[in-house]
Amino acid sequence: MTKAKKTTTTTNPDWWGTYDFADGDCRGWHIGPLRLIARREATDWVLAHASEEDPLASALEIDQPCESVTDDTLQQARFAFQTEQTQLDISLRLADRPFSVRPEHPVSVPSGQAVTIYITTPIWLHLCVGAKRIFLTEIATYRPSDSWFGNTRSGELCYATRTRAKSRMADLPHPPHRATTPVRVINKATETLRIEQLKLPMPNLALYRDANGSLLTQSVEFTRNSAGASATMRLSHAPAKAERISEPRLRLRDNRVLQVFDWVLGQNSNFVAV
Amino acid sequence: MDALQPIFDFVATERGFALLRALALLILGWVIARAATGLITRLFRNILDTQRLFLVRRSAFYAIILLAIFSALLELGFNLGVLLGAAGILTVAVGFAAQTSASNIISGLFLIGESPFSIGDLIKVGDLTGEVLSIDLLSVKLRTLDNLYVRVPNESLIKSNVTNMTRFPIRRFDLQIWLDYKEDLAQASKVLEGVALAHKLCLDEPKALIIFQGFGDSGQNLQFSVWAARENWLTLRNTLPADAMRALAEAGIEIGLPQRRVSGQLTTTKQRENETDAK
Repeated sequence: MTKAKKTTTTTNPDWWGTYDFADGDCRGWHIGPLRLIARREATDWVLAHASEEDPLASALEIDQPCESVTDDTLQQARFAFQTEQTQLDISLRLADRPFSVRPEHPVSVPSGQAVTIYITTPIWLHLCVGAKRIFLTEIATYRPSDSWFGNTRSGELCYATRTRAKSRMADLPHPPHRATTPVRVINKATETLRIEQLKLPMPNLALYRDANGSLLTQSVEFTRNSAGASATMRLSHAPAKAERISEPRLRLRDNRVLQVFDWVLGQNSNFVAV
Repeated sequence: MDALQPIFDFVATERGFALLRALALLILGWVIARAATGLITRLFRNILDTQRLFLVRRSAFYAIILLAIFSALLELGFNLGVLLGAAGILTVAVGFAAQTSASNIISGLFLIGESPFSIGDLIKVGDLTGEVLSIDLLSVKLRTLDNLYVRVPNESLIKSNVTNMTRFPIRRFDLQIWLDYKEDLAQASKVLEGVALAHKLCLDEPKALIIFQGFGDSGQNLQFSVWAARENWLTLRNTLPADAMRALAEAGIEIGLPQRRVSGQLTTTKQRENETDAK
């Protein structure tokens, strides 16, 4: 039961990477709210997982031997192969849908001001086996609630999250299963901007790991222009001194300018970024 | 070569040459019609759905073919006015003979034009609910939820209300809850809001609605309305009521049951005798 060499090196031990499995091996991981068990039986792999209710749970137990995967609370999946695949590869991905983020209390940005808030979102485990990295499945470390961004006739299915909209990264909890996205909102209009809801394009972002082992993404910049009627969203370059550990799920077509977005101008110039 | 001589002689005559020109017009019309349909497909395939594209292509094809036929007939010296008159009378006769079919065809054209649903949608027509398998000129074919194949005439679809259950990406589920009269509505609302927030498939936006519907025999009636992505609606419908019941029970809130209050008066034998005497 030996752990294989990691694909990355760091002073802070990573919990993802490649693990060797002998026939009959059963190992478990406890990453934040997620409990994951992997078992290899000759050419078959069984994956079982369950998630706690606390989205900020900070447990981190890596590659622990376990008895079996017969717990009723676990959701199981079995994968069968022609030949023996002796390695399990765990890599990380950002969410497969955008996040609809609501601050717990709306944040107002006066005219001419810019604010940066930090938002954390759970990551997904991308599980493969064998030297050829045959894909098995993806499992969310925490499955957020569904949400909808748009009207009842058209829009986009998102995950929902609430944020305290902290303006200092140090104030945020850093559980191992969440990535931090800095969101910069610039208000060039003459009216105060009230941020009520934001859509973070997680599938368009890449995942990085900094020197402390924390997970983070590029920052997302929303700029409301001086006319006040339109705005743009841009993704920044890679964060400084960070190593890229996963690519975006969806590539942007143009030069980082994602799309023009509208907001609902009405009561208190509520800001709804699309 | 001698065998073809009579054909050459016929073509050399004015009538023969007219026939040749008419034939050429028909062939040219057919080629143009084919090219036009190809062009329409390329131009509109990203704009129109399959049914509308089919309708536009067919209409363009038959219009061009009809023009070619008219031109050919003119070349042959036919009087089109007389021909069109005869065609009109024939159309009326056929229309009377096949009223139902004609009505279905016209209804089919309207359905394709209006496009209230498309293939694969789940629709409800009267008491019938099913997935649309095909939309044809005479009828729409449905596969019901219990896997029966049903042919619905287009005419009845035009005349009745059709509900498309998969047109929009999200759908609302309304759960009617009756609470006992002694329960606090504000507390119950808070508990139900918590249920909606905790359920993964229940959308956070649009927000869950809790609407007071009135006082009834069974208690205070609340409507708990939550939204889900269309594909998760059934799962939500099957799981949310249990979650709501559990949460209400944990909060000590009782579900209302039908009640009847019977009031009466106890009378003694002496009182009854007095009443009888008085009468």
